[in-house]
Parts: sequence; C-alpha cells; structure tokens
Amino acid sequence: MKISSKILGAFILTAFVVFVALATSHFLRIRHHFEADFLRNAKVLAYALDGSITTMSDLDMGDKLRVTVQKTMWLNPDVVRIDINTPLAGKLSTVVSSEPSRIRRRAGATNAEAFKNNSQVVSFYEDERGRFLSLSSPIHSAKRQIGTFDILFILEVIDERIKESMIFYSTVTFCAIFISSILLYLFIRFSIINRLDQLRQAVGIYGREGVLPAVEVDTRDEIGDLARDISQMTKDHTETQERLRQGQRLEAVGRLTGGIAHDFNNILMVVQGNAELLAKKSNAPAKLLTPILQAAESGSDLIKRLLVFSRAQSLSTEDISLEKLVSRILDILSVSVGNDVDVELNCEEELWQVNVDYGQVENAVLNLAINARDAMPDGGKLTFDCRNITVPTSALPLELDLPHGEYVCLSVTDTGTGMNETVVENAFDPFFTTKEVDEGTGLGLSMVYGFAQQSGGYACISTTEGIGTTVYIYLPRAEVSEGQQHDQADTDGDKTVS
Amino acid sequence: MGAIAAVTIYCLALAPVSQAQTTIDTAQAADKSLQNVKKRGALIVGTDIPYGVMEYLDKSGKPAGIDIEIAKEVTTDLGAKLTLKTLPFAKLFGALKKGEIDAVISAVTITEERQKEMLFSAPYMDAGMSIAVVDTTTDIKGEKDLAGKTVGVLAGTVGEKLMTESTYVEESKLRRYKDNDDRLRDLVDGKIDAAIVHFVSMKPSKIKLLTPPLTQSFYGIVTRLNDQKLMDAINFTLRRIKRNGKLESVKNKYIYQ
Repeated sequence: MKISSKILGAFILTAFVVFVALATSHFLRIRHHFEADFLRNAKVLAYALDGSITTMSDLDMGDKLRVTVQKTMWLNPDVVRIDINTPLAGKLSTVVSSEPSRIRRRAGATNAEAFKNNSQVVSFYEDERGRFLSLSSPIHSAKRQIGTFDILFILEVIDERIKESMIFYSTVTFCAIFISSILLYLFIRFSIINRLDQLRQAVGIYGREGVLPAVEVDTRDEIGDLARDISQMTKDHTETQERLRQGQRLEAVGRLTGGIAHDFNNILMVVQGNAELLAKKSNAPAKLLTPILQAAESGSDLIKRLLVFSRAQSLSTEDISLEKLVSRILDILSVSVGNDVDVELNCEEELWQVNVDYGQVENAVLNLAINARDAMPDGGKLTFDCRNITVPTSALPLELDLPHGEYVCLSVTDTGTGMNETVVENAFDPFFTTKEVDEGTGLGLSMVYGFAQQSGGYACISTTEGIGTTVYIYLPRAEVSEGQQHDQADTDGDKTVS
Repeated sequence: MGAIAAVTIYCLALAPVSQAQTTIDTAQAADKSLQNVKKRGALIVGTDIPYGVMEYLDKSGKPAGIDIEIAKEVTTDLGAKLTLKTLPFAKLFGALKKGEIDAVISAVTITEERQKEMLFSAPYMDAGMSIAVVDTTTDIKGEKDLAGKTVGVLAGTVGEKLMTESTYVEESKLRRYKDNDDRLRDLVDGKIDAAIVHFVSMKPSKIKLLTPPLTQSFYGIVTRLNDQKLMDAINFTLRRIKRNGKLESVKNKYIYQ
C-alpha cells in the first residue's frame, strides 16, 4: 500500500471521527438548549393556566374550565393534551380533560407527585408518536392547593429545529473538514510524498545504473536532509567501491610482483654468487665482470623495492616517534628540496609512537618528499603533518579501509600541480610514473602503499589539480606499556627497541 | 458522508430519553383508520354546506370556506384526495359512526358530551359569540347595555338562543334574520343597534366586536372514538398550519377580525 493511500485513508478516518465528534457534541448541545428553552416556555404557560384557574371560584365550573383548557390548546399548537385533576374520595382524579373519553386513564404518577410536593414535575418521554414533555403542576385557589393539571407537549418543534440545525451545521462542518483535509493532503502530497517519490526513483536509478540523478535538495527540512544524506551516501559508496576495486587490483599486482621478485631474486643470487666466485678464482678481466656485478646489484635493489610493494619483505619493527624521525629527515631534505620550497612540520602534542620498520618509514618519507618536490618545479610549500587518529567501531570501515583502533596519521602535503583522475587511480601501481624515463622508477608510491599495508596501516591520496596533493599514511599506534610511556617522555629516546 | 453521518447521529442521539409510557389499548393497537385512508387514497369528509364562511359553494359551485381549506391541508399531508360528503348537520355524526365518512369538518363545537362519543382534534377555531356594534355611534359596552336596544340574530342559531334566554334583551326588540349579510347591512345602516355574531365575515370598517365575548367555544375536527391514528395525523396538520401561519391566513381570508 502506498504511503499516499495510507495518508488519504488516515485523513478520511480522522475527518470522519472529527466530524462525528463535532456533530454529536453540537447535537447534544442544541438539544439541551432547545429543551431548556421549551421547558421554560412550558412552565410559563403552566403558571398562566394556574393563574386563570385560580380566578375561578372552584373546580366545579364545567364549561368555563373546559373552555379554558380548549383555549390554552388553541393558542399553543404544541399542547396536545390537558387534564385537570382534583382529590376526590381520597385520591387524585381527572375532572376535566381535553380528551374526556379517556378521562379515567389519567391522573398518573407525575400528577400525584406534583400534588404531594406542591411543585411542578417535569418528565420527557418518547413513544411511537414522537417525543413528549409532560408537565404536572399544582393549581391554587386562595393560596390553597386544590388540585393539579397535566399538560402534555409534543416536541416535534424541537426535533424540527434540531434537524434544521444539524443539517446546516453538518453541511458547514463537513465542507470545512473536507476542504481542510484536501488542502492538507495536497500539501503533504506535494511537499513530502512527491519528493520522497523523486528520491525513491533516484535511488532506484542509482541501484540499476550506479549514477545518482540530480534530486532537488534545496529545502531545509527532513526530506532535504534525507536527499542530501542519500546524495552523500551514494557518493561515499561510489568512492569506497572505487577504493576497494583499486585495493584489490593492487593486491593482485602485489602478489604477482612478489612471486616474480622472489623467483627472480633466486636467479639473480646464482648470477651474482657465481660472478663473485669468478672474480675471485679466475683472472677474468674486471672490465667484463664489474658490469655483471653492478647489474646484479641493481637487480637486487629493484627486487627489494618490489618486495616492499608486494609486502613480502621482512620488517624489523620497533616503536618510533614519527615526529623525531620526520624532523631528522627534514634536516637532510631541506638541502635536497631546494630553497624555493618551504618545509613545515606540524605535530600534535603528545603524539603517539608507532610500531613500524624504521628504514621503511624513512624511505617512505623520502619518497614522498621527493615526489612533492618534483610536483613543485616553481617552488611552494611542503607540509608534514602528524596527528593521532582513533577509528571508532561505528566508523564506516571501508571509508578508511582501516579496522577499529588507534593510528598515527602522517600526511605529506604539497602545493604542486596535483594529479588528474587517471593518475590518481594508478598512482600506487608499480612502475607507473608521470616522470620522464630515467627520472623515476614508478616504485616510490607503490612502496609507500605496500609498506603501510604490511605495517597494518593504510595509504591514500587526496589531490586537486592545480592546487596540490596530500598523501596520507596511517600507521598503527605502538602498544603502550608503563616503561614505554616513560621512554616516550624521555627526550633522548627517539628510538625504542621493542 | 456528511448527510449520512448527520442522520446516523441524529437517530442515535434520539434513541435514549424514553420513560414509562401510557399503555396502548387494544382498540388503538388495532387502529387501521389511517391505513384505510391511505389505502383508499381519499379522505371522506362529512360537512354541512352551506354554513357561513366555514363552508359554502362559491360562484362556480365549488365548495369553499375555512373548513374546506383545512380539509385540503389535511389531505395534502395524508397524501390522499379529499372527498366531500354533504349531509345535514344532524346526520353527520350518525354517518361517521356508521363508517360512511372518515371525519367531520363542519364547524363542530367541542363539547364534553360529544367528546365522550367521538374523538376531537385540538381546537382550530375560536367560535365564541360576541356583540357586534357600529364603532362610531354606539354606547353599548356589554350585555347589560342591550336593554331597550334592537338586536339582530340569525334564526335557529346559538346566538338566537342566547338572546332569548338573556335577561336584558326584550323579545319585541329581537330581530331574526335568515341572511347574515342583510343583518350586517342593517347594523351599518343603523336599523338595528347590535348583532350577535360568531365573527364578521365581511370587512365593513365601522363594525367592531365587543370583548369579552358572550360565550367562548372552539371548533374541532371529529373522527370515530377509536380512530386515534387518523386523529394524530389530523392534529399534526393542525399543528403545522398553526405554526406556519397558514391557519391564520385562511381565517383572514374569510373573516374580518
């Protein structure tokens, strides 16, 4: 069932309930009002009748009393019967009635009560002929109670007035409720349901085609928030998917590279070992042997780098203060990056130590610094930033590709040329480079990525063409023990062997 | 939805207020008076034409008058046709009791004796007798002032009886008329000093009725004693035409008040 149908149903039900409640309340109110009004007039009539009878000498007045009864009925269309009763032989009997043929049936309970209490007694009742008001009232003569009379009023006037009022009130109320409901429904339809429908269709399209169409999100309400959240969520999802895809690709390339490097290393060991033996045992000219040994050395160096990328090298981890490590490297770097590049290091106070391979971190920082420098041929600013990061359990794990835990994030930011989308996508691939042949191997960022992954961390790139690039390396925090905390406080303890 | 709900609520809310009610006797339970009239599609009304402005035949020979108009109102409400049966007044009640007619609408005064044998509606007409005089010339203010005055009455009516029995009016001064118009003309012309009338049917500007009236009596519509349901329907019409002013306009059409 569609939400619009539910809302429409709820509206109809609510409108009906409200209408019934209002109509019932109005009915009870006007009936009470009309009856009270009618009763007031009835009592006035009763007093008037009492007054006219009182002027007669006694109740044995035959025609005169009968004429009074008839006149009262003639003047008051609502009076359908009048009986005049007087105590005879110890009980109240009807002596004059507008319906003498049924005279013996009268002088009922209300008359007796009116006579006994010397007061008017009122009762409403209903039968198949309609609703009636019975009013019994004492009759006085010379301040003495001499009998009672009973006037029966038919209440069809009240019923007619109630009917007229109810028809008018019901029509007006119904129209008001109907129009309000329609307006409210249209408002909800256009301000909520239609926009939800747009969102639903957009999400459907995203599910099928992976592209979120433009959705109107200009309103500052829950629906606007939802639209913005969906837009952000799909964007994040797309990015995460992309990262995952890239991670899987790098994983596959890493495995392939690792396997090749390992086998190739064995082959190279044979070449290198035999070349060295040959150099010692024979008098083969150095002119021929030296290039072999140098080539073997280069090959070995290449293999080490490939192993770093493929996370297959053995790491010698220790607890390190990144701040000290980076500052030490910066001393060396300040010369190599040139005077037209400003170098800055920002570290959070009480930066946590990380448990990583010192040499690998050093290599990574150097690689990043060199890349940054190359990206800023006209100079700029190179910023190293170290911050403590806690990945909460509630964080989207794919967003950072990191499990829950504490990390230190080292970011290297340059104000260089930045990278376009294609370059970013392939930046961590081994042998991918934008540099000229002989200027770069294309293994720098691959090594950074492999090292970070192998260390239990993560590496990623944020870049904007023309603005600059930031490479983030997340490294896991070293396990903290009391002794380590002490060492961390020690200014000389830049390296702590675990 | 509104109309349905309104009717529902209206019916629901009407349901409660019900108290001890007078028992319906067997005669009333078996009362098919109304059913018979509706089945027949006509209400047979007995009337004695002519009787003053109450019922007469107009110039085209059609029945007219206050009673006839009231009878038409009743039959309209009943959804039946009006069938008039003209009978001498003395035979009307007999015809009613025999079932030849359903009701009598013929200027019938409500009396206790008649009520014991027949069912009367609520009074629809004040039929008391009053002294009529010429407004500008008279010194008559009440019955006592009729002593030595010439009084005009209609022969054979309650008015003649009243004056015959009156201690103030001399027999020699009593003028008996057969035609009401002649009588009122004589009154206006000063040939008689007063007239005893139910009401003045024409509208001569000089005539006025003295109050209080000499007698008070009321006309009612008559049915058989057990025809309560038909009487209820007749009373309903009378209430309606009293409330909406129809009865008053009918009277004004025929009577000078």
